[in-house]
Amino acid sequence: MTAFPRQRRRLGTSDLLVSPLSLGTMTFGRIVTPDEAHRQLSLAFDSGINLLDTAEMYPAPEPDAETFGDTERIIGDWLKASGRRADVVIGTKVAGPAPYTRHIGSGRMRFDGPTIREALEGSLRRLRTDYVDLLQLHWPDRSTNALMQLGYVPGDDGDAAAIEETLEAIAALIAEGKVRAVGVSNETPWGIWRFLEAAGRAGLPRIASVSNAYSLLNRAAEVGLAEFLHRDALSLIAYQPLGMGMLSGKYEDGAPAIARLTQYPHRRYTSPACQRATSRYVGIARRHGIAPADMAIAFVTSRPFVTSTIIAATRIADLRANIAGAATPLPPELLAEIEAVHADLSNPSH
Amino acid sequence: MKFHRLGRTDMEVSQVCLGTMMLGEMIGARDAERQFDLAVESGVTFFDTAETYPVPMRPTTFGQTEEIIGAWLRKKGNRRDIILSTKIAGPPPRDVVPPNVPLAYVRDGHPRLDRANIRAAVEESLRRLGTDYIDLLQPHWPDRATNDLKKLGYVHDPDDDPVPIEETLEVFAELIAEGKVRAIGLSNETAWGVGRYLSASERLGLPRVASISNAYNLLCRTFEIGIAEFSHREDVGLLAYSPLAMGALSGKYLDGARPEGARLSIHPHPRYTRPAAVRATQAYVDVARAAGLDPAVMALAYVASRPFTTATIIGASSLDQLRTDISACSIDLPTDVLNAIEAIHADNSNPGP
Repeated sequence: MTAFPRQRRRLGTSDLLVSPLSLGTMTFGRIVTPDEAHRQLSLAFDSGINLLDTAEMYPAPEPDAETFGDTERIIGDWLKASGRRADVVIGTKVAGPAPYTRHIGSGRMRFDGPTIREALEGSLRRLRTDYVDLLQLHWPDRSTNALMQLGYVPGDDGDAAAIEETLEAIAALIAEGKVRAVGVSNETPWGIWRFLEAAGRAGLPRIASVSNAYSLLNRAAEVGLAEFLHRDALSLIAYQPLGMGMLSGKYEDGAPAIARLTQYPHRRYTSPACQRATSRYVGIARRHGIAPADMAIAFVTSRPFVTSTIIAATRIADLRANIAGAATPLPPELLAEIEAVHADLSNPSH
Repeated sequence: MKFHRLGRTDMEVSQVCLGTMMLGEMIGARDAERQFDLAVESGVTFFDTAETYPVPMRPTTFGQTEEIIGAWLRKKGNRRDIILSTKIAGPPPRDVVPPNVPLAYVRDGHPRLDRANIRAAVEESLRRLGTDYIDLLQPHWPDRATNDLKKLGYVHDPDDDPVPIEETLEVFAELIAEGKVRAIGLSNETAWGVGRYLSASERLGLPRVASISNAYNLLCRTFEIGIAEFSHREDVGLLAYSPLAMGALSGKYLDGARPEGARLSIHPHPRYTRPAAVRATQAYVDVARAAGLDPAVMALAYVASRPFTTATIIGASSLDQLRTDISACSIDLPTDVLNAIEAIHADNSNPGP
């Protein structure tokens, strides 16, 4: 057993201490059955992982009204059965507005006070707990280019709530002991700046973390976000370090039957540019005798601006391997080869 | 010529800004004055310079571009018709090895964005420009260690010891109060820097930055990843420099060509000539030609038409080129061309960051 997942790091300036690996649960109840999910939760916890990442919207892909909240229920059952609530840090997320979140609450449009409270109360019920450690906004309720878009096109902000209103609602939940810290997800530098400004000016809760996609295929966080993370003591909780499994190399020779992108094809990491870059990264790992998945995850975990890396697997054997290999040392020559590919084929996913 | 408001100031600038970086180096004083005349005849009212111009920066030519502009302004007596922008050098990069320390000749080799440096720099720029005010004053690059804008990866420098942004802004406030500066902007800044400047202004009632001058072109759209949202939501508009990627987007360097007298032939630079940049350039040039457009015209029209662009800084090596470039900035690109551009960007983003 590696000591790495047993490390603890402070999340931003909050008093939460989290493991450098976090268990992703998005497909619990969709691809991963409840029984397998419970085995994954136990394996992760026994390996030293204390941060569980979930969301009211899960399971995904293809969230729907019928399965809404199932992932949190699966986790809630495990928490009750295992008696480990006090030993884990639960991060969940309030869904933002999107065509695929219309079934949530009274039709999610904005992060206003009633929405935040309604979402949190629902999560507490399903998780069978009386507090959430980290409450995050899943994606902004305004128009941005944080998700699957590098180019910036000013869009319609719809009826986005004032960031102060959102933070006031979370402040009330913190005062009631229902939430310990606040974070954002899929956020941009402007959004992070505004959240920090509002906190500083109005004495509102300060965000502790940003959960954005970050992997060899998508290092856009380094362009504008990393400087905020460093200078403002924010934690990056990196998701999709394997690019939905692409970087494991398992799709290099066709699609395996039991695999996320086979069952649920997705364009984020499968464009021709992503395939070209993946082949090159997988080639580097193999030349150095390192499992491609280990190299991809270890690259993310070893970045100085990454606090915790969310790992998620369809099969428990992959989860075990990912935990074991997450801190694989990457020699300088290998890192130089990675930078050369990045310079030639940067951020094919975004 | 279209005009855009400069940030939240009361100044309007032409959407074409005349770049002067090469004036005094590749282009002599007499040709420079012909460029100024042509620009003004074409409706350009916005001129951009810097104390360190011309480039390549060297002690023997330091300040010459400002002097050329100053001489022309005096001759024409048209100072009031021009919105004049200049920039103050920040500290030299830290990773340089003596004796080749750049800017060793600027203020005893210690240019910083502190009070003494800014005051000295502004007095010298005013003298060279032969004027008693600067319309837009910008730090040329940050005083702190930032993610090098030419790199996409982020490495933090733990030994960073920057001049506080509050001090820089306080000096700017004094200069504005004295009537020596009308507005301030940023250059080569990051999203964090823009946010910090805005926060300090708000908190302390100090001047607010009106613009940000960063590299922006089809090969380098990193501005859109973190900063364009600030432009849009905070009215800190982009003054886009290198809109043609040092001329690479004209296609004239494709297939390894290095035409005589052209900038990258004389001063080779890897930023826009790396394999990925060449692949992207070829793709953009093909889109332009298929649409019957001059590749340079398409590249400029793209930059000028972005909703976050306040002005496009163009620098030309001939009057013909300047004429073409100015008119390119008011062309509306057809939707199919814009879609083709976005498809190339999705496949090969920022090959020349």
